Amino acid sequence: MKRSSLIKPVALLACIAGFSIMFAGCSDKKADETEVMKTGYKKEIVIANSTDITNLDPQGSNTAVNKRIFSLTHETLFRADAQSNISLGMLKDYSAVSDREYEMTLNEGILFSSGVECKASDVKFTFDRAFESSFTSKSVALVKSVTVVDEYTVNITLKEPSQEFMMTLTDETLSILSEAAFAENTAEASSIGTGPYVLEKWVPGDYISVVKNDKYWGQKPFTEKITFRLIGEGSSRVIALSTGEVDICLDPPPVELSYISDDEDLSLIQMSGSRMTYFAFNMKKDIMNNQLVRQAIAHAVDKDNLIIGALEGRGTAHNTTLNVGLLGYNDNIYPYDYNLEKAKSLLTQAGYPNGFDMILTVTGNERNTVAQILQAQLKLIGINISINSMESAAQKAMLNEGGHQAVIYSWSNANRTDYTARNLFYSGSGSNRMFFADPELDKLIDRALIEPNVEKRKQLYVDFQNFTLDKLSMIPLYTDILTVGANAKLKGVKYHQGAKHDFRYMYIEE
Amino acid sequence: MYRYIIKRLFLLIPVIIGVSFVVFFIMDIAPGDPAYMIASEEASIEEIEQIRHDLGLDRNLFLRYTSYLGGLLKGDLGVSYISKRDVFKTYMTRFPATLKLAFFSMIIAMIISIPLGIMSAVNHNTWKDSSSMVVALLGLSMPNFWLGLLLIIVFSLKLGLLPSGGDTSFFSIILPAITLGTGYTAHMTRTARSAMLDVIRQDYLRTARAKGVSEKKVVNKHALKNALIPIITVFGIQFSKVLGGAVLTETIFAWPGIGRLIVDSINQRDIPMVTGSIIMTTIFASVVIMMVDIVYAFVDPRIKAQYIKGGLK
Repeated sequence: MKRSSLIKPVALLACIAGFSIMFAGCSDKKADETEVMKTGYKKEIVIANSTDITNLDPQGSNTAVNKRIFSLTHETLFRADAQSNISLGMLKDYSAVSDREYEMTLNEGILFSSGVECKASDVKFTFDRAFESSFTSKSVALVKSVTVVDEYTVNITLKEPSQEFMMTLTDETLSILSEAAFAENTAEASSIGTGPYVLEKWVPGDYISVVKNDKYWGQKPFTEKITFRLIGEGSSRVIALSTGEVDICLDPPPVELSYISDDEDLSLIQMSGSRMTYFAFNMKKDIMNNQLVRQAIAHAVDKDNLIIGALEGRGTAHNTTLNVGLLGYNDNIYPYDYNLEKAKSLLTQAGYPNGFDMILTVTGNERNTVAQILQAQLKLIGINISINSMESAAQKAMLNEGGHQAVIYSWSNANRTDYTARNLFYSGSGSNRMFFADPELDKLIDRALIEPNVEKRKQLYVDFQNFTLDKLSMIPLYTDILTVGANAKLKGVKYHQGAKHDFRYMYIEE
Repeated sequence: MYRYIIKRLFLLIPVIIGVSFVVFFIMDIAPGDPAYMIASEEASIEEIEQIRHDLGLDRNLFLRYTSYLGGLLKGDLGVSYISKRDVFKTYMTRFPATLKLAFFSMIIAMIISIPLGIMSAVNHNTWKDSSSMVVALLGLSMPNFWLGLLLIIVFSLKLGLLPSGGDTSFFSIILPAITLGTGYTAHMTRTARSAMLDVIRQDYLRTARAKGVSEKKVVNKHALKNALIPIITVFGIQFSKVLGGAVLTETIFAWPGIGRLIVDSINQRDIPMVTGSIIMTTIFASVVIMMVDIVYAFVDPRIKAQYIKGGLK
């Protein structure tokens, strides 16, 4: 081989690399300049997600990360704000024919992003489809029938009265879908909605971008394009915010928060979240089904230290079985103070004066740390915890099959009390990780759902919390604090306790 | 040579069948059920069973595998359980990023390692040799995530020269490629050094020197050419490895590569996505190895002669 044949390509590549580095700065600056629109708003806002968007079907997922997209591309019949106040969404009007029958009329002229007008038949199609999905079947379980009255009016009849039905209709999983798009087998039919933005491109594991929907019937958004980029690594996410590559950084890691708060070009948004993390006992397992044992454990858990150790203080002790913000939420009724002597005495009464061994199942770093702290805390009363750290898929299978003894788990819902109570505690519910079953409690949940008087309903939910705290099939541990880092010039975002932030009318003035 | 290439390509068929079966089998015995990952948290047992039925997960492994194989023969890698998107299309949206990362990281590794290995061998047991080995050792010792973050802090955060992550511009590749390439430098430097050491003491080089050929020419023309075979081999192996994904580098730089796609799919028990991705990676890796074998023939006439002797003209 000739000498030159080796040296030349190497030299060429070195030059390319060198020039790349030299010109990198210039190129980025140019890109920034083109982003400024004539209107004075930044053309594109980039949001860094910590987890990936998994699905573009509103009825195929109910995670906050996916719902943020659905709230941009789709709309619901009713809309709820961050304070759970309900207003009309796509509806022009609605009336209650009886306590279980509603007539709802759509606004005329609402177009799907495909250009087809949204009509009553699309509402019916959406509900019919919702019965088939595990993500929506619980929400529409009470719906007996949906009938098309005229082009824009539907009649929805329930099997039983439900005081939470309007709130249910605000959920993004019940976003109205285009029947025509599905009938024509359009690509990404589920992503066709009537929202202010329309899907531009989705590269799973990389980014998803939405652009302004020119056909939108409501108030037009200010920002031309919104891109959600997946940056799974926390430090990289914060650095991307600091360098201006992204405008919003969701879930910055606690150790990096000072970098955001110390930077005058950035703002740090902190608010109490609605995600409740709890210590669940499998009531079908020996020892765990002993109420005295569960009470002893509750008295031995020091939540404040747990929050400091596992979350660097970024959480608040949670003392009830409903999420923060739900109707009837009351955290002043928790009867288990931190008292090791009482815990030991309860364990002795339960027949375990020397403690016992138990297995605590967890998944993920945060819950693993929580488990380690609980392990140290319960050791003080003689309970030896073995931590069974599993990956999510394996853990889900184990939980569904009831193979666990105890688990650290979370539940997040900011506006549907019945949905939360029913899913967490109702006999036979899929997300009842405690396998708790009590007909008395089931009746209480059913009563609360149909009670028309708000104050009485609130009281029923307080009774529910007293009941479940007394039975103690789970120990509520903490509610985390939601954090968002953002460009200091960003305005118009409505932050949500359940992390379903409303980005529709955000903007950055240039 | 063409016959050789065709023969190698045909050999891929049993490899793909073997790989697909092993992946299918492993995913089947791994704890966790895809139906639980697809269904909502609130799903009832009946809904889980319905999902299992819809996906055919209630059939035995053999039936599922033969059905998958049937699709594979028609070039259908299936649809992702989670995203509901075509596996092949999803893979191909991620593959260019991986190929780019593999190519540039190897270029960087070669730019550093070959001169360093040659210098080390030529100056065997001198301070230059020791220094080169220290540099190689440094490359090996620095964990990817640490070096990656360090580069991001310096070049993105402090100097503002390069993007910190994503595949958003031409310059996005520089930091991930340096991070990944540095890790491979150590192995390749040592390979280059030992290959050169083997060659450099041989009689024909002594003869060349005795004939008055300059040391530079001896090294670059006569020695390096004969030392290239092991270097190319290591290059090929490393390149194939990167095609399978570099999860740490991809994670730090939010690089949309195959590694993260496969890991995420494994975590979600997305069997079609995992199997399809591994099959595609196997194909690409096999092609790279085959290309390496072909390059041997161009570098070393003796190997070319063997190919011809074996009737593979």
